[in-house]
Order: sequence, then C-alpha cells, then structure tokens
Amino acid sequence: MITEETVSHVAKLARLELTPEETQRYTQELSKILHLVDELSELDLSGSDLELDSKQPTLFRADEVKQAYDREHLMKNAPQEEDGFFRVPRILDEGN
Amino acid sequence: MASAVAAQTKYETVIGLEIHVQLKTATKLFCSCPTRFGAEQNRNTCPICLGNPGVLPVLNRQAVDFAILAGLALNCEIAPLTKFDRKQYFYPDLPKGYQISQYDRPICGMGYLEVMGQKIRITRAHLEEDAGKLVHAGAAGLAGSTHSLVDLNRAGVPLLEIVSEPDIRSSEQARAYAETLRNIVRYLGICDGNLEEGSLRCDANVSIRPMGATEYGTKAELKNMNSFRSIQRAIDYEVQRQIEIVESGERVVQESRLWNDATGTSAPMRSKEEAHDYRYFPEPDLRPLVIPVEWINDLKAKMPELPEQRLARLKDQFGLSDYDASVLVEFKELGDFFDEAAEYTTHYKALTNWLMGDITGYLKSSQKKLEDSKLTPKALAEMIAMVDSSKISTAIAKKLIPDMVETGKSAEALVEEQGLAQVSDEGEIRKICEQVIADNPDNVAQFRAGKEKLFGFFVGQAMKLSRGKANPELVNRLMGELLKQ
Repeated sequence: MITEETVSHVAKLARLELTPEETQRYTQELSKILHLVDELSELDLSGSDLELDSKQPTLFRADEVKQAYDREHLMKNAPQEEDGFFRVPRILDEGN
Repeated sequence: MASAVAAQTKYETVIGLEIHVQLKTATKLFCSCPTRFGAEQNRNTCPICLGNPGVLPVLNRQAVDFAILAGLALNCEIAPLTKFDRKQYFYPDLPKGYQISQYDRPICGMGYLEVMGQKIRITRAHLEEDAGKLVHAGAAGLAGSTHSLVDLNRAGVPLLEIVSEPDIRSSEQARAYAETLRNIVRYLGICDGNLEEGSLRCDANVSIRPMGATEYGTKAELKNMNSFRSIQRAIDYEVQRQIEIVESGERVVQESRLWNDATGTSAPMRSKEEAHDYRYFPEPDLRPLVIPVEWINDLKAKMPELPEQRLARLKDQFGLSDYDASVLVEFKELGDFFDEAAEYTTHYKALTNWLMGDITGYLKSSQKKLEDSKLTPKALAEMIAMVDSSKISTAIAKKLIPDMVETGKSAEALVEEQGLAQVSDEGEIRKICEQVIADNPDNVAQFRAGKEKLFGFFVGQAMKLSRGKANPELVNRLMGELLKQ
C-alpha cells in the first residue's frame, strides 16, 4: 500500500512541489496503479530470471570515434548557453 | 604528547577505499564521442551523452574488455551475467537525471590485492559512466556563485569503480594499496593512473574502534585527495579527529568530508539527508550482458606482464637488486626502456645506474618525461659500451646525456662532433701532466714536502686541461710517476 508519506518523499527526491490536495490525489491514483501491477505478481514466474532476458545477444559498439553533430548544432537545444557551456541557475546545495 | 600516543594505540583504524579508474577507451561508454582530454568545452558531446530525449545507449565492447582485464588482475570473479542500473539524483553535471551504473550484479565480484604482505579483499568492481564538470561563475567556488557553467565532455566516459573491503588498517597501507592498484591499471594499459589529472580518483571510508573490538565504528567518507601523499595525510588527519571526538565523550557523525590539501584539514560537505536514496532500477535500454567463458579466456591469454611479475623477472633475469627492480617497476616507462636496452647490453647495473641517475635527473631538471626524450634504448646501450671500452670517460658520458636526450643522436656521433673522444695516448697525457706540474711550482714543492693530499688537485687540473677527455687511469699513473721524479 502506498502512503502519503511515500508520495511526499518521492516528490521531494524528484524536486516536485505538491499541494496537500495533490499529494492526496496522487496517493489514491498511484495506489490504484500499483494494485493493477500487483496482479502480475500472481503469475508463476518460477525458473525465470535475468537469464530469461539474456538469450538475446548483447549489442556492442566498436571503440571507434564518430561525431555526427557539432557543438553549435547541439547547443540549439539549450535554454541558456554561455561561451560553449550550458548555463544553469545557481546551485544551492552540493547534493552529491 | 604522551596521551596522544596512548590514544593512538588504544584505537584501531579501519579503512576501505573506493577507487574510480577512468578507462582509456577512445570513445565513451555508451556513445561514439571521443574521450580525448583537453578538448574545448562540450566539443566531445552528442545527443546520447547530453541525455536528449529518445536516444539509446550502446555499450562499448572495449570498456567491457578493460573491466574484465582489471577484474582478472585483481583476482576477482568475473560475472557470467551482469547488468546495468540507473542511479538517480539531481545535479547539473548529470544531464539525464540518472547515472548508468551497476547495482546488484557488478561485472567483477570478490577479489583481492596483496599489499605490504597482506591480503586486502576487494568487494567488487563495476562499470559506470562519468559525470560532467561544473564551473561556478561569479565566485571562487559554489558558495556565492551567481550561476554555473556545464561542460559535458567527461559525461559518459567509462569508469571502473573498485571497492575494497574495510581490511586496511593504516594510512600507510591505504596509500600502498592505491599505489599498487595504480601500477596494475597502468600495466594493463587500461588507465593513465593519474590522480592529479583525475584519471584515478580515490575516496576513503575511515573509522576507528577500540583495539580488539569486532564491531565497526561510524565512518566518515573522505573525498578530494589528489595525490598519494594526500590520501595518507587526509586519513591521518581523520583518524586524529575521530580519536579526539571519542576521547572527549562525543560520537562520530557519518558524513562525507572534503579534504583541503593546502590547509591540511577536511570539512564536512553540505548535502541533503535524502541524497543517498538513489532509487536504483534496471536500465531498460540495455540488455543484460552475457560474458561467455571464451571471452574471459581470450583476455587471460592477452594479459600483459603485471608489476609483481616484472619485479620477480627483473631480479631473476638480470640479477637486479630489490631496490633497482622496484624503481623500474614503479616507473613503468623506465622499466620498459630498461627491458628494451637490455637487448643491446649485458651491463645491466650500468643501465639501471644511468637510467635512475643521470637520465632521470636530467629529465626532472628540464621538466620532461621519458616519453618526450629522444634517447633510444639502443643509443644508451651503445654509450655504455663506449664507457666500458674506455672510448669515453664516465665524465664525458655524463656530459653527453642531455644532448642525447634532446637530439636523439648517438654517443658516437656526438663525440665525433664535439671532439670528445677519450685520449689514451701516453705521450699526449704525459705532456698534459708536465704542463700542470710546470704551472704549479708551489703546489709541487708542497707535495714533495709530504702534503700528499694535493695529488687529487694535480689530477683534477690535468683532467680540466684535457677538457675531460684524458683517460683518468693514465693520468693517475703518469702524474704519480712525474711527481715522484
């Protein structure tokens, strides 16, 4: 069961600000979704593991440099640019 | 001080190290961007490492090779099946909002490293992508900055994080462990192993406990040590700090601390309580990685010589002393040079002396690395042969070293050019000695009156007059004869 505390905690980790009403609503909605997903756990999956998903060969890339985009092009997606850097707002905490 | 010493023997230090090894691949872990150091900001980026929507990571096979090689050298079990996971946190150096790392199925499992005669167990080693770099604008550091600038050239560069068990018991041993590991990754050719430039990064988990206790104390995590010396210093400082806390009846707080090498102190890093809730989950964009035994065996067959093996071989094959062999192991390029030169000479002792003495000395004083030197192993071997056959004196050989390093010319060519060949002609040397005697009548009188210490003076003058070219043995003999007349 999902609680309002869990929703608040996850919202905080995801840097989302929720009103008390929103927290309540999301708790209910997420509970319903999780309940639905819970039905999957009733399936008998014994004998299957990561191995089941590993039958397909792993895809690799050779260690060869390829550069298809130049910086100017890539920078067009940046909200703010400064001298070839991405410019971001002031950081308030070391975080990690 | 007596109480400080008592306190130090009252407690046992417990250290575990986490070392990030930047793998020397040409491209990033999940995209084909170059990893070349020193490129202009954000030149080594693409939609994948910038975390643009809809892109998919594709694993670099070379990085996996390197991780397996490291695992084998560290006596680790290589996982037949491994996978990648997302580690989530928010920081602008991480464009996707998560780092692709490995959580519960690392590529390398339990291993160990022998350090100072003791086994230090390795918990695991896993592959992950590096983050970008931030420049804080408007102030010297983060504090007071108005905004930050992000360079993502390093984002996505492959790292192997090697985690030790808390088996290390002193700062000295921690340093030795880090140095041993550095040597191994350099011998494997998978990392530059440069702490100053950050291709090797070392964090230390440090705690103390009463001598004889079995439970661990609360640990602090030390970061930002940029040299092997600072690893040792930071741990020493931390141990002392924790002893003082415990001795005064307080408790050690679990925290991350940033080492400041200039002040020789560390301070806690500011961080939010919940920063360590990474909500790992399997990376859905990458298939689990299957590593067949053949792949591992193939790499085992290609395994280069490791430091420990080279040490044994240098002593065995060439009869080098413990010290000489360990220097040649520690400085890999020097060892490589020795091995090559040893194909052209059997005078191994002279080879190590020249390499570790004059050549290293000259490189140091001219701030060069052996890679920048034009001196070839063959040319050094030839020079040694010229000294051994008295074609040139040791003094002349010493003078030749800088030119050989700078120009790459052979000793023979330089001797020819500068007219430095050793003079072993008795008649010529006799003339020089007679000249010295004629020029210094007072000293001659004193010598003949019994002041025999002056003999060295006469020999020195004769060598000087010959511009170092006279055969010293002949000078000694002839000068002796002439002075006694």
